[in-house]
Amino acid sequence: MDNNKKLFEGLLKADGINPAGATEYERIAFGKMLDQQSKSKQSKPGIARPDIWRIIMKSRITKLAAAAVIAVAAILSITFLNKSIPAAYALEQTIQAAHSVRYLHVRNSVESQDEPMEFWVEFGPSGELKNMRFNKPAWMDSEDGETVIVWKDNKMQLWIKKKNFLVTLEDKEVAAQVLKQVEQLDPKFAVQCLQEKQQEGAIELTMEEPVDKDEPIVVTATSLKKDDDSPFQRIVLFVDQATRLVNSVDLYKLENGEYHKVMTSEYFDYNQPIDAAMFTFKDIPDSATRWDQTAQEVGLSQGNFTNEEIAAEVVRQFLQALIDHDYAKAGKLFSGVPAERIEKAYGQIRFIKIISIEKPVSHALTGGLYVPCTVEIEENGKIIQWHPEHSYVRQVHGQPGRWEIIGGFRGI
Amino acid sequence: MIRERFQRTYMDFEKQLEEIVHRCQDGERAAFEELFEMYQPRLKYYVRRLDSEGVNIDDTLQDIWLTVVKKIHKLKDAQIFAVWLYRIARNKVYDGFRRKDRFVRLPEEDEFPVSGGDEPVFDANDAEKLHRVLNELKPYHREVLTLSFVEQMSYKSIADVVGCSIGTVRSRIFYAKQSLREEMERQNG
Repeated sequence: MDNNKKLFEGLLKADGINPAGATEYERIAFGKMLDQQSKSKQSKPGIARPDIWRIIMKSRITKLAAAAVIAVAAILSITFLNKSIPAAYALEQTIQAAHSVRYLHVRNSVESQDEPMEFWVEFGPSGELKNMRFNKPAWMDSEDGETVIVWKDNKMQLWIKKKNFLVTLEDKEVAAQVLKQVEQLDPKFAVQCLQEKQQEGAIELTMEEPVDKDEPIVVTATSLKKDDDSPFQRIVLFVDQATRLVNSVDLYKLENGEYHKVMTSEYFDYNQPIDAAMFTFKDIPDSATRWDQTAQEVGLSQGNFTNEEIAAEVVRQFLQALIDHDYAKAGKLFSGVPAERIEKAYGQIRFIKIISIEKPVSHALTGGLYVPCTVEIEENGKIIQWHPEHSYVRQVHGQPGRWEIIGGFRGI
Repeated sequence: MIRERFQRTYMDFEKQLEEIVHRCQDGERAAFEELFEMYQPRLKYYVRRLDSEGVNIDDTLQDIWLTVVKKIHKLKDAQIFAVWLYRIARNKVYDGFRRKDRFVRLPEEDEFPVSGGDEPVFDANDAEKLHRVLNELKPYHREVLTLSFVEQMSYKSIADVVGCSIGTVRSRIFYAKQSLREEMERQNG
């Protein structure tokens, strides 16, 4: 053992610390901390996801789009339970009114950006999500640019204009995450979720109900929490006096002792049926690359392999296909990405040989396996060893017994 | 040969760490647990070496890790994880001080700059004695030596953690090692 390492270990031991790792007590405490973090993230996912996950689950979407609705719901829930507020108007009326909402058009405008985020949502008779469209402006993702996401018939389609790329997915996990976000547009759902938060009583609430019935009721909620690190510290809600439905919400952030408006959410066309054309892509150019994971067999059959063996084999065959310039095969292994897209991403790189494929390890986030590997490549005249950082493999949803690469290799 | 082996081992460690940090940024629970195993012992040693009397070490460590878990996705360069972590730790300890109105920053003294003088080298077999004498040093000497001994940080990285120039770190480590050597010799009689 070298002197430095020995010195490090000696110093820690002299202080009664085991240099090899944490104590059991510390591990338990840390585990609890991770559990708490995990719970708090379940309702507002914001973890960076690789590739196709990232396209949909961009953290800024969840932070901005969802936070607005969560904030509204927080106010609704507070008011719903706080019967002592002396105002003629009570927000239970808004909740009641929201029960009958079948169609909703939401526009979220961020102060620093010109283009808004827009959602069109259609709920079924029981309040379940039926159709959804999300126009994601280019500023939210400099790599993909403007993207339209449509959820319909239990399938999700993404139109990435800049890349001329139409993706069709039937991924239950991604769908579940997106649905969770969309459900938060419905105050009824959010009220239930946020009752717990409300009980903290950390918000001061004021209401103004103008005599002029054309003017909206103004509800202002200000966080009383010290060092509040939530996205917004003040929310102003404008409620239509006739319908009792929310017209718009302004969100403020406290900076240097002053409240600055950072975002406005506007709610339009309550219960105005949305044109069915909004939930279809009819004007996609013929030149667009279409990647329909629901219409082809993807990945590799597991056969008699164990999970670890098949994961390593998928990665091995993918890398070998790149070495052989067999982009169709590489694409099939990579979630069914079209061959031309694979060639575009990897055609400039000469894959020389596989150096190693190591033992796969489980990967909680994707529910699959991470396969560490090293491959020798030549890029821009230089021969280097490349270690893909996110070489994840998992079972194909809807195709039992098959395994696929789900992202992480660059360029797709 | 030994130096080469050390560099290789250190590079392996760095590569491994970088990979773990990336996995943490992807939200992988197992990666956070690995990171915690790797850094909790050395972090505890560092926090204890700061002049943290009156600060609850366990609470502070939990606070540090909570920040790591919450903010690691914002870390742009996984290679500077250690610097980032120790800066968080330093700020948390000083926050603790501020809350207790004890003092705002560590008292420091100006030291003459040094230019490439021979620094004392310490044998790992003296670790126990070193640890004992380390606690006798001035807090700002103790801090830079801890980062140097425990983390084998470069002067640049230490400067980034402590928030001063590389020259200041160099002179601080030089005088700190001298003080350490003198104190050890004094105790040896």
